[in-house]
Amino acid sequence: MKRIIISHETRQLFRSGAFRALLLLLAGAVAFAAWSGQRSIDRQIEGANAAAAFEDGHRNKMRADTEKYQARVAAEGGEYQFASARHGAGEGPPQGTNAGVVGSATAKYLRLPPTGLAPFSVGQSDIQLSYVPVSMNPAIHITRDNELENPVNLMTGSFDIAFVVIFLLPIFILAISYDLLSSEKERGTLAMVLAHPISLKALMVSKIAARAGVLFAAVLALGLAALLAVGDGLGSFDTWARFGLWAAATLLYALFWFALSVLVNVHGGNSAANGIALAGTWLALVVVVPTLAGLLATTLYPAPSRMELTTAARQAQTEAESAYMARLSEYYYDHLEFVPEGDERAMDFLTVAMANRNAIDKAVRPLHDEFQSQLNRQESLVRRFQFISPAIMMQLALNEISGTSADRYEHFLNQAFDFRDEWSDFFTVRFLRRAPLKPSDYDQFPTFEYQEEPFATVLTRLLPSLAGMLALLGGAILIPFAGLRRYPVATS
Amino acid sequence: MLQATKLKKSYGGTEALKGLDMTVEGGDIYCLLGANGAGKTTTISLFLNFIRPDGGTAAVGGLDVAEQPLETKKLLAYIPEQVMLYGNLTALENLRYFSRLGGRDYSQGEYRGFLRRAGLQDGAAGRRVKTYSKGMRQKVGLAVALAKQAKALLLDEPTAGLDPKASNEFSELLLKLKADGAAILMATHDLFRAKETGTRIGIMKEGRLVDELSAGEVSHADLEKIYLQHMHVGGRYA
Amino acid sequence: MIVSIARKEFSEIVRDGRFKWTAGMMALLLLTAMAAGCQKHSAYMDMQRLSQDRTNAQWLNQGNKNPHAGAHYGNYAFKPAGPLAFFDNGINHYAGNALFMEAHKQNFALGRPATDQSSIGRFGDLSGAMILQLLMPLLIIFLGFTAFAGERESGTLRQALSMGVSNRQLLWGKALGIGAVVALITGLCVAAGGLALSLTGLSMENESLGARVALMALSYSLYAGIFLFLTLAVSAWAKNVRTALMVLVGFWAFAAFLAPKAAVEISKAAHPTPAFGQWMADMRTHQMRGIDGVPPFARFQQESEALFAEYGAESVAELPVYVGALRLQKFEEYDFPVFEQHFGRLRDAYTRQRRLQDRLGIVAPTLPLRSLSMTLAGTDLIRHIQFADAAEAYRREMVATVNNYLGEAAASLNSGYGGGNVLIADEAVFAMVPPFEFAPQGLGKALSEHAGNFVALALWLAAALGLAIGAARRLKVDGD
Repeated sequence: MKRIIISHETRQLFRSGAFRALLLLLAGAVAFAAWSGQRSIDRQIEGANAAAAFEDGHRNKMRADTEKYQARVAAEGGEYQFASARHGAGEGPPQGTNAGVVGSATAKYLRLPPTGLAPFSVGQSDIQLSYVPVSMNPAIHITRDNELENPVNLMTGSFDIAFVVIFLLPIFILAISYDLLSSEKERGTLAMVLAHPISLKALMVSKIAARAGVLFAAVLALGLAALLAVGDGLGSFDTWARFGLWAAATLLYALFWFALSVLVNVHGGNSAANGIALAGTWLALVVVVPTLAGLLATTLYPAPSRMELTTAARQAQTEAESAYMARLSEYYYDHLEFVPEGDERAMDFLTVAMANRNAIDKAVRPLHDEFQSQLNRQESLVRRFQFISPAIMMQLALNEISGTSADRYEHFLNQAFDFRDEWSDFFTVRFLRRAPLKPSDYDQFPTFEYQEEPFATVLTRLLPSLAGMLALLGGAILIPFAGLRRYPVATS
Repeated sequence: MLQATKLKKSYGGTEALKGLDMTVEGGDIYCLLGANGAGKTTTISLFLNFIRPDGGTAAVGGLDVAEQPLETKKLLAYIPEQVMLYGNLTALENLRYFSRLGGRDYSQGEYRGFLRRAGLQDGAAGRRVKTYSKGMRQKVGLAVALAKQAKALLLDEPTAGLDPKASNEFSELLLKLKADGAAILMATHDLFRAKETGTRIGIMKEGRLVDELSAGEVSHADLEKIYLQHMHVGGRYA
Repeated sequence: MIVSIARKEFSEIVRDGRFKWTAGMMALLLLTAMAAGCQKHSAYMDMQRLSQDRTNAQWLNQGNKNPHAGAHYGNYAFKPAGPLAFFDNGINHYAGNALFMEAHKQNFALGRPATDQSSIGRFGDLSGAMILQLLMPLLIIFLGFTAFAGERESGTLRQALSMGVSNRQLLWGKALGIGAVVALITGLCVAAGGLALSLTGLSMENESLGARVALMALSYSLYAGIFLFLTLAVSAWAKNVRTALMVLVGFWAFAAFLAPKAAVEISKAAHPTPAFGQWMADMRTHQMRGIDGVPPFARFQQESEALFAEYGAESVAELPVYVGALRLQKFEEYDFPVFEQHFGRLRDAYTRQRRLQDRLGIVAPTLPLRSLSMTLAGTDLIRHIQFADAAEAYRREMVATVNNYLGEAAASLNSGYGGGNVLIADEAVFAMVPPFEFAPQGLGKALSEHAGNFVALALWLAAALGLAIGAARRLKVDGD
């Protein structure tokens, strides 16, 4: 029986010009979103390549100098020596032999590679750099730079597939189901149908099933097409597992909106009233509640002020510096290039500059750490607010699935901080020993490879969002069927 | 076939049906007369389980409608004042859909046969029903009833607003169905048609059946007189 | 006649139970947004002022050191929020509010609140502007979509027109009635917000506050008018209430949600924002290469003879200023055109994107309104660029002041490497640099960019009005 209705409903849907137009619109939106997402990822990769090429170019130049120097030493005899730090070209050993110079004047760019599904949800990746510089400089420099996107564009947000799923898909769902029963009632066909041996519940389930089936097939096909077009790592388990999660989350989310439609239809109002109720609900759940949640969160748990951090860190810096300043009434530590050649103190200047930086880092870092942990505390509190809106849960879930979540970024930064210590130790030890860097040493520089989180960790983090949506969906399904018994088929 | 026992229904305090007792047997065409709001449509809705009774039972083929709504609907066909169909489907497609909902499926030729028996011109069967006149839609409604091979028909003012010729054709078809043994309950305002096609006539007023007549036993003029008397005063012999 | 239609419309709406709900929610949200906006705005402004005073003091009290080292210590510019930021916070969450001004480097404003917020923040700000831009149109649609279509379905339209009312009168009456309801709800709430803000005691002199508020009211009224007449037009044209609602809600979703994001993506594709890595590498390469292909060291060598001649000297020893300081300042100046070119490239991209987004306002009235609203609130890109420019001008002045002081005071160092007796500056020297204060340019300057947006809103209103009048003229009395 249900099969008959489902096939009838499906045929009815495709007969309707409005529905065909909606499908076309959905396809257009997904295509546009995939294109946008792709461009955003391309831009990240280009930026990372350029930054890395720039810094690697420096190091390669230094290495080339040491090679020439090594050849000269071999030809002319003498000792392969350590250069004191300065900038100008001189007669002596090149700067590339000085581990302190190489380690602090050039940076190594570390990358957070995008996942195969990254174009699906841009998340915070338009604000946070997916490539960070590591050098002997203070650790806080790692996170100093931002991506350069136009603030108006950041404010508006990306037109990515997550946007299509979270904002537009519910509109399409409501547009094809807001008058699920009311239109049949208004047309009079409801009584015709119910004169046959079919229950209202079966009728409604079938009608929803037809719509959900068609829509979900379309979304899945469009998602798959987008993945094939702009996704990456199509041969890897990770990408397909993420796509599976995407499809599951999208299904859950879509079903929630269908259930909401049923809920409103069961109430027995006319189509216009249903339309208003559902448009209002959409606005409330997708726009008002999330912004209200943001407002509540930032009011109840305000993020610490960056401005305050800046001035406090500066105070700490001044105090740390003054200890060195008193002894070193010089400014050369900022300008090694002006140290006259042959001045033995040049060596000390770099040492002192490093020590000074280290002291500042030690004085300032606790403030930054405290700031960060305050932020993390706030974030974990704010995350509880997700449960009041399926849109927030879905956004967090899609960021997680696409690998553009705050947690994955932090996982990357932690690796970057660890790597910074490794990189810094490597050069500090060689510098303090005054051990000249040979060309072959350049091959020994620490290397970085981002270690992806285990898939189980991603799943664990996804769990609250998905469970929350499941609970909402459950609620939205159970309530209407209780109300069906009172549905007025015939009006008095 | 159709049986109401002490059937009661009220809407928000006003009693629409005050304990209705009636029976329609196979081969009967029972015409319900009465003013607007007398409870005719409520009675039909109760037989269809569109609304739940507040007391008493409506039974179809001996089965309580409220308890076995789906079983009883297998026996029923319903034709409202306006037969509403899916406008962007053809008559054949509509018929096929409703018929399959009723649990029966036929060949394309058989469906055409039902439509022809219901009086629809052959050329119209493949057209979308958006373009249909009211009379044509009623015929499709009848074809649905035919295809369902219903044991009982519930008709709610099926001929209201039809032109006399269409109305006449409709009555002819009802007589054929009656001859096949169907029990037919028809709410109507049309005294002439009730007298012509009905076997029995019930007059309803304010939720009660105030009179029952045998159509063969009264003349048309008498029927009108009796009906108006009921409407004006409060009882047949008051 | 029109007034009595309006009055009937007004009381019909106000008596509707659903209206009480909708209007109540809307008023509650507006008041919440306004209260939160005031609180956040005044807290931000307090913090901004406090921080600016602190870093200005830190500059003075940075300790005795070489003057150029003082320039490395630098100073911070903290961005004020903008006079009407409590109503429309614009790009403030995304633009950075702390700009570090130091020797040798032009920096970006850092500390974007959006990076410190959880990703929930990306859903946007619940501000007065957001509610008027997104929710008010929907309120108008809810109040007005039945205006004609509903009366047609219930048959009262036939009744009304049989009384000798013209279609045009009916249209104006309904517009007036619905408009009055909307104005009542929004006007009261916005006024309450303004009152609350004035109680916080923030002074906003020299920001032509009156003109800002008046133009803001004008822009939002135009916007409301567009939706009002579009709603009436669709209601008169549509076959039934359902169609009217679908069409209007569809348009609203398109204009308020879809179009801005699509416009952003289109503008990014047409005028790409350089990626940070690419931009940074380009600029630093350019810096090292020199603006015209001569690296700074070589260029200084080339120019030194001419430079010395300016001072009437033939050799370093005869220079009346310290050559190290002279070189520092020259290097600083060599970088100016490079910075201008690369930061300029970025701003050009931003500005072109903004202009394209404004031009796309012909497909969605939300775009020009949004742009106007931010400018009037002083929270837009134009003002952010002004702030960055002011900070850069200050930075150059700051660095030049200390470098020149070093040049003159340490001239004796030219005779040889001075070793221990290098020059130390104290607070009096650093006090030669005045404290940083951001003085934004006048409103007129910023508005000159927005003539097109006013025109776009006016055109939209004219089109909506035309459609409404046209639809009213061809008003069908009966539905299908």
